[in-house]
Amino acid sequence: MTDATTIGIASPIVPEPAAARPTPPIVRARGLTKRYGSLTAVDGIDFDIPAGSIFGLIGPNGAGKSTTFAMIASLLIPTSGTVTISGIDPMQDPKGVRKAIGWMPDTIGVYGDLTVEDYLRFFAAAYRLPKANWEGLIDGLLELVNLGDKRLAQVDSLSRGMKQRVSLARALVHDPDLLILDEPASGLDPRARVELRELLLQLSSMGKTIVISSHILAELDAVCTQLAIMEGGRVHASGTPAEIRTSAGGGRRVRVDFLGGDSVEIACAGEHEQAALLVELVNRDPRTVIGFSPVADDLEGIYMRVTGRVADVAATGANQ
Amino acid sequence: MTSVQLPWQNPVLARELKQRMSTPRIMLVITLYLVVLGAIVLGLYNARTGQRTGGFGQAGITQVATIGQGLFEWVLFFMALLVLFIVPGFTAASIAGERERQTLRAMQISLLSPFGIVVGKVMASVALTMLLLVASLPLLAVSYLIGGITFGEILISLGVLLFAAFSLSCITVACSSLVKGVTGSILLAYGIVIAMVGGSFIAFGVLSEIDQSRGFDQADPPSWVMATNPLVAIADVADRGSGPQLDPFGNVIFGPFGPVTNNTDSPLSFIRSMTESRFNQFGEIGFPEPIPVDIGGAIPEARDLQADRIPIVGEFLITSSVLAVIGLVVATRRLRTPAATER
Repeated sequence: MTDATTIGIASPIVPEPAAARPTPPIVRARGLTKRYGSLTAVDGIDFDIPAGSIFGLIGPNGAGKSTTFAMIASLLIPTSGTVTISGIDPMQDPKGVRKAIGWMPDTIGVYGDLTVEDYLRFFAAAYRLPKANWEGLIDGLLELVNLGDKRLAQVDSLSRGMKQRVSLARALVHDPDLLILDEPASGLDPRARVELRELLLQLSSMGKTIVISSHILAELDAVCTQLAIMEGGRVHASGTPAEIRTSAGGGRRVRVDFLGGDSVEIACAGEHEQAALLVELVNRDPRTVIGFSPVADDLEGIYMRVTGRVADVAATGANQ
Repeated sequence: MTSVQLPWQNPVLARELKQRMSTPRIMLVITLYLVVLGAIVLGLYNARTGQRTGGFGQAGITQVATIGQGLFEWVLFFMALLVLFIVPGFTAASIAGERERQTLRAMQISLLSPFGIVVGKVMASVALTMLLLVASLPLLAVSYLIGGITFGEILISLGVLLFAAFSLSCITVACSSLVKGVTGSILLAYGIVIAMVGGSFIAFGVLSEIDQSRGFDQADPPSWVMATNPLVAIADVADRGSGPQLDPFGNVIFGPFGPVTNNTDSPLSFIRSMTESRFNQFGEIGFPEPIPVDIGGAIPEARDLQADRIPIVGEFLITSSVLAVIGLVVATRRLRTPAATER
């Protein structure tokens, strides 16, 4: 079980100004575990998601992301541990949680034979919103997801990206504080991904807390303010991207290029260690060093190191 | 802010009706249904009128009065068969289809209750059946106009049919909630229908044979074996005994061509003969003995003999109610979240 990482908590010694004080977490998980027989899908994870953040859950297929989301969304009973949403336990008050969250599952489940507006009307009714407000609400939602001209279109006639946006509008129909988006960019073309990313940033600016999972790490890198890296049902690291980079990579990496085309990447904790390692490399390695360059530490690299796969990658890189 | 929803404002019902009623499929189903029923009515009418009026003498003419009753029973029988065929077909995908389309979780995570979802699905199925029944009223009206059938009898028969459809819808929605795939759900639902109808006939037949093998006694096979069978219930509710038809005051009902008799030769009449099987005076299983009718004063005996019949429809209504409740409970429990496994 990983240690709890309380993201963004201020130093207890030097109080920060009130405006910079962290907001309480909107989601808090402690020892959250889900087992199916002998299979442990989620293995005692702890994390906090601050209100207003965009929290990215990174992990490969089968890491336990969707199961974690299903427990947050009051669909699954945890085998052990707890999760609260705005202080509400989904096991005790599932309706309270459902009012607070909007969930977009990893598959686009829409009623293809309905028009976009009928689809949204159904969910407005399902959330028991006053009928008098439906039309204005639908107008606003369709404008937000840039589908105003598709109001009367049959859902089946829309592209996958548009369906994804209809699904997002559905998740927003009751104006939830927390949005849970499970692999929202899956299957989208590059343009649709960019549009989705912009939409997420817009929603974040509206004060929504967004929890998003993906195995396409570049997407999360661009939008997330908080990250958790998950594999095999466990959270291997969590925090801000900077915190994770520091904890995972020792701070910096340098690529050393040799004459003849070989190269190697060196990870080091700080500037002095970096200098020492480079000097040692130049002195000991029989090959001629022709250059050094800092390696941009992208999310993919962090993920590989955190999940213990960096050695394989480094070896592959050195052999190339 | 939320608003209160009345049962008929069930969002699932509204959506289902919008989805189902606006498709060419429903128009095709209704058209086929009416074409089949219409063809049956037309064929029967032509056959019966030709048979009854084409003979010699007064007897043929007076028997024409049974045409109305016969047509009514035939139409009712085929309506029951079509309901048994259509309801599971239309309802089996109700939950399993949502699961396959990945739309179920979105509903479960909304403020819809599991019971609300199930009731919406059942009501949508019953609404479809009601549509079919209302659409077939003109065909039933043919037999009403010919005579031998009262408006109340039509309403009671349709009511029993509708109740059978309701019960069947509840059972089928439960099947749909239990089985993950639509195909499996359809197979399970039709399997249950076959067991309810065909299985009950087989069980009754086996028990009759056992009963007969024990020698001469007055014990009939237990009627509860048939209590799940909508066809038997419909046959029972359409039954008027085997002599001339009597009104609630015990008077013989006359049609335009003479006294209306009850021997309609319809499938429902045949089903009744099965359920009324008993050892006759020759020690064989046979049809009920003819009810001695003396229009001048023997009415009480006739009514007493009618009272010997097995009251299947009552048992059917009770059994169907129980099955419907079980279906609703099972489906609701299957949709309840949070759950230990994904539903």
